Amino acid sequence: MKPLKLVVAGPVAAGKTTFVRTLSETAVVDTDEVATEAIGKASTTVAMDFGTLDVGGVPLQLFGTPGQDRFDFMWEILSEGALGLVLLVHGQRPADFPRARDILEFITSRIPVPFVIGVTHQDLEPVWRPDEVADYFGVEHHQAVGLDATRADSAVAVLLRLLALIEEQEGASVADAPGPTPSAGEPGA
Amino acid sequence: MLANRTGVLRVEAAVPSRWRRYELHLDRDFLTALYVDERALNDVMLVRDAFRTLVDLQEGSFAFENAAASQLGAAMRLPVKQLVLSTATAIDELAQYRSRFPHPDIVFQLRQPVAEHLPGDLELFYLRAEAHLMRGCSAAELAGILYLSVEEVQLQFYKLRAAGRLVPVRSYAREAREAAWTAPSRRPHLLARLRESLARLGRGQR
Repeated sequence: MKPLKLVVAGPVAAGKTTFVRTLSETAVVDTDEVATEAIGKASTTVAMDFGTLDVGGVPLQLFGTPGQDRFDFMWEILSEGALGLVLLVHGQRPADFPRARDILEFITSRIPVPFVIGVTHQDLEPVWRPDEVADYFGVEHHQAVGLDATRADSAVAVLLRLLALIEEQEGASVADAPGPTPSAGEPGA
Repeated sequence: MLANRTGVLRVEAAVPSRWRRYELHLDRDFLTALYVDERALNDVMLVRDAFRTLVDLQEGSFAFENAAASQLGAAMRLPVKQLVLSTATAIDELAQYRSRFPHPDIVFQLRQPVAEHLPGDLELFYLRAEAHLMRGCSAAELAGILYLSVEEVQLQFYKLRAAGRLVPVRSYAREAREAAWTAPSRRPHLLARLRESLARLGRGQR
C-alpha cells in the first residue's frame, strides 16, 4: 500500500523531533546540526526528521520540518500530498506563537492539508491550555490538543484527533454535496 | 537640492530582485508625473510607495534634465515636501509593524466585502485590492498585480486583519467543499482503519 505522509511542523524547540522519535517504529533519520544562533538549544533540525509507523498495515511516514525561517521552502515541499499536518507549539513559550501561526497559515493557505495544533509541556505551570491556544490561532477548540511529546499514548492521541477532524471535514463536505456520494475504490475499503 | 527646479529626474537602481527605472517630473516643488519602468503611477498610494522605495535605495544612479513645465507630464500636482514628509511617516509605520507582518506568501481572503469607509490609505488600498482579496491572494502576489512593494501590501494586510476583515485561507476546507460538489470522493474505510489501529497503538497494543 502507498505510504501516507504526516507532517510535523512548528517553531524551534516546539518538540517536533521528540514527537517524531516517540512515534516512529524505525530509527529516525534526523538532520540536527549545531545551532549557530541563540535559539535556546544546542542543536536544531536543518532539513527534516523522518520516521515511519505501521498503522494496521498502512505505512505512515512522519516528516518533521525545520523550525527556522530560512527553511520555509521546506514546509511547502514536505506538506505536498500529506494526509495531515500536526503543528506543535510549546505551551510555555507564547512569544513563539506568532511564528507558529505564520507557519500554520503559510502551509494551510497554500496546501490543502487538514491540521491539528498540539500544545506541548502541559505538565508544567504556568502553561497555555489548548483552548487558549486555539483562540489565539483563531481555530475551533477541538482543533487544538494538549500533549506530552515524550509519551507514545499522548502522541497517538494527537493523531487520533487529527483523523477525527479529517473524517468530520470530509463527512461534512460530502453531506453538503448534491446527489449520491460513492465511496468505492479506496484502499482498504 | 532640486527645490525650485523644473525638469525630469531619472533614477536607476536595483530594488530587491530587479533593476528599476524611475522618472520624476518636477515643476519646482510639485511632482507632476511619476513613471516606474515607463509605467505611469496615477494615484497617491502608488506614488508614496514609490517614494518610500526611492528613499530606501542603497545605490544607483541619477540624472536631472532641465525642461520647461510644458514638456512635463501633467497627471498630478503633488507637493514634493509633503510627499517626503508622508514617506517618512510611512517608513516609521513600517518599522513599527514589520515584526508583526504575516509571511508574504500566506494566502488571505476577505470575510465579506467591506461596506463602510476605511481610514486613510487603507481605503485606497482596499478599493484596488477588493476583487483579488475576495478570491484570495498573498501579499507577494498582490504586490505584483498592484505595482506596490510587498511590504506595503503586508502592512495593509496587517491592518485589515487586525480589523477582522481578512482571514487566512484554509485551503483544505475550501478544496474539500469544492471536491464534494464536483467529484465526490471519500475514504471513510481507510480513515476508520487508521483510527482503530491508532487507538490500539495508544493502548500499547502494536
